[in-house]
Amino acid sequence: MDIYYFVPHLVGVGLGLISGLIPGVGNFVLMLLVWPFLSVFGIVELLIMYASMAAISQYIGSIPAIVYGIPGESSSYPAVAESRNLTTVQQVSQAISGSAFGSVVGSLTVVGLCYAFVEYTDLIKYFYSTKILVGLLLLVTLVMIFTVNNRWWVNFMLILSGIGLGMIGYNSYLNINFATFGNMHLYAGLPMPVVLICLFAIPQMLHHWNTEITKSLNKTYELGRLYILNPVALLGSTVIGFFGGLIPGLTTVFSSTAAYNASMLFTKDPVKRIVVSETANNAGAFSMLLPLLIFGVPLIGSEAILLFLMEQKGFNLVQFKFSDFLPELALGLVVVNAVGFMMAWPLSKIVPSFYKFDIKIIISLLIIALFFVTLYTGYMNYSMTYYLVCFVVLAPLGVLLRNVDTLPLVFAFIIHNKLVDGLFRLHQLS
Amino acid sequence: MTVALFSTAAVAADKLTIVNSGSKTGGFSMQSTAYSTDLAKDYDVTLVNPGDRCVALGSLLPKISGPVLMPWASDYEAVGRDGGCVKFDITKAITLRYDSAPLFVCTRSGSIAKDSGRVAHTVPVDGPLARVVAEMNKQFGTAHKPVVYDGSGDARLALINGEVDYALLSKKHVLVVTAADKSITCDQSLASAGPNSLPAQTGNPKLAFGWDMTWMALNMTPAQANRLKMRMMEKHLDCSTAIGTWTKCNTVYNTQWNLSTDEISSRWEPMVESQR
Repeated sequence: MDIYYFVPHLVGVGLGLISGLIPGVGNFVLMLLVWPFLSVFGIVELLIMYASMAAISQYIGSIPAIVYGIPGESSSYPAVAESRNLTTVQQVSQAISGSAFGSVVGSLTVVGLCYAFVEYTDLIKYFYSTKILVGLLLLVTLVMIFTVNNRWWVNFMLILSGIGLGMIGYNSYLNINFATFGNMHLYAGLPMPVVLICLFAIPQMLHHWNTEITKSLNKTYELGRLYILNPVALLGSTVIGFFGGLIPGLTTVFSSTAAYNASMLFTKDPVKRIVVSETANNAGAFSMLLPLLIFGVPLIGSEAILLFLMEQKGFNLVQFKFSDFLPELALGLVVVNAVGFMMAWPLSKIVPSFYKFDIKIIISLLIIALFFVTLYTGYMNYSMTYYLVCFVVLAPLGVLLRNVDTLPLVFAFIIHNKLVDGLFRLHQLS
Repeated sequence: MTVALFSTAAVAADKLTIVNSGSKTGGFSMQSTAYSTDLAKDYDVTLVNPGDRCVALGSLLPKISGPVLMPWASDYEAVGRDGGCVKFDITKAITLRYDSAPLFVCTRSGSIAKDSGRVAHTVPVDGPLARVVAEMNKQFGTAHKPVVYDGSGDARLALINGEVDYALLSKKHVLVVTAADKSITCDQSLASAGPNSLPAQTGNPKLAFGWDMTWMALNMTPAQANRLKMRMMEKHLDCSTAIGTWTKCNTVYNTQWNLSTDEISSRWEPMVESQR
């Protein structure tokens, strides 16, 4: 590998670290913030930087999710939801090391398969059928109703609530307003970071408020043992993650949630469930690049920026083929995954130190930090007052929901657009 | 997420706020970002990118008192005049750049004027492009079914995988789809090569086959606006700049820089009305 690719790797790893640790600060924002500096990179460097960022953010995102119940990265929601069921140091340790190892397997398996079958990657175009996409969304939603840790009708109501909250605003697809009451801020809908913080992160953390976690986790810590999930489960979650990563607008979020839902059908072990979901999102972190590189179609905002930057450097589909990029990209990802593994597993050494503090103090500090994240994202959106009002309204709801697993609500909130628009398009196509 | 981007540290540089009125992934967003890069040497630039025109014009624009550069499109205006959340009277601003983006019909086979099929277009479901499909059916006696997609990327994929028979795309996307799939061809014959995107060939004013767009200066004196226009033109002429790259050396739009107010109105108004 070219020595000059060291810098884009380093930048990607650094950005991925930030993206994975801070809720609400994702790859899109980071790409915009470092835009002026990215102009020094060529096409391959940009691609390596982006792939590194995407991969590392998935590795790192699992740590705050498992340890604190904070979704540092948006695809870590299943890990956050399941982290409440980790009751021993061994389980925490296994979840972290297992996730790190599963992530390596998921990521490198997809890279390897793409390398082996590069001539056939064009076939993913058939995946982009409205029937398949809507079918997958409905299937995952249905499975969630019967598998998430609430009564089925509670899950159903949570899904309806998530869709309802998501519908607020102007729907540019259907050209309709829903519950905007003439307020221009509401036209943009409820801000996603605030909804996720108030209705997911806060109830998840408050659920731990009265647990004697300090005592229960004060045990010997076993960093030396690497937890490895069985190969069939790893392969299955990699396959689910691969296809989930291809879904526009959802990508790794869908990968981890779909794999998590599938795992609920087979096991009640929280460690296995977490490892499966974290394996899947790393598989999706690479597959989401395929439509961009094969068809020039970005699936998420950060990819749109990447495409633009690459085009500035002369990228076009006539001259550049996916197979041209793959060798450098694949080699780069092997290195990045090794780095990600090292960061995600040995970093867990510091996990016990987190528990030296009173859990109530930690949770209080985290909620205060999330409040400032809300203000910051509001400031960045020129809508700080609006974000603050949403926080004040939604946070009490989150407190009331502290004994409910709100994953179905959050998932429905995130996918509502794709589901509603897809169902309408199915009607048009029929 | 909106991001106030970077600003130059140039001493006494004029402040300039670029407000993107389009989505975060569309052409306006990418061009706004390109301008924010290219103009950063000459201005203290702030990019405001809410990704939603209701928020951009309804909530943010009124709060900005300094010089603003903002794009606006004829189909946005048409939706706004039909009861949408925002509309904008472009005569109250100084138009720096005026673009016409003719639409192409892309297909693997068949003629859209004869062979009925599924036609992919971009949002909204009852917007100008949906009406274009309905108007084609009236004009040509066809029975096309409009199918709406969230963006041109999705519409392109639908054509590539065979979910639709035709896709209505602008030149920027035509270049990509024809490169990705050699069996796809795109035809501009229904669009006008004239001063705006109103059709010359069919003569049907409701068959507006494209968009017109403006980039406007707000809260600026004529001298300030003219200076900004000169800077923008300079960046467009250089194919290595960010905006030069995005516009493929000014080949993706019919761009005009020196239209009089009357000329702008005579092109803009019929275009907007045809899209309502």
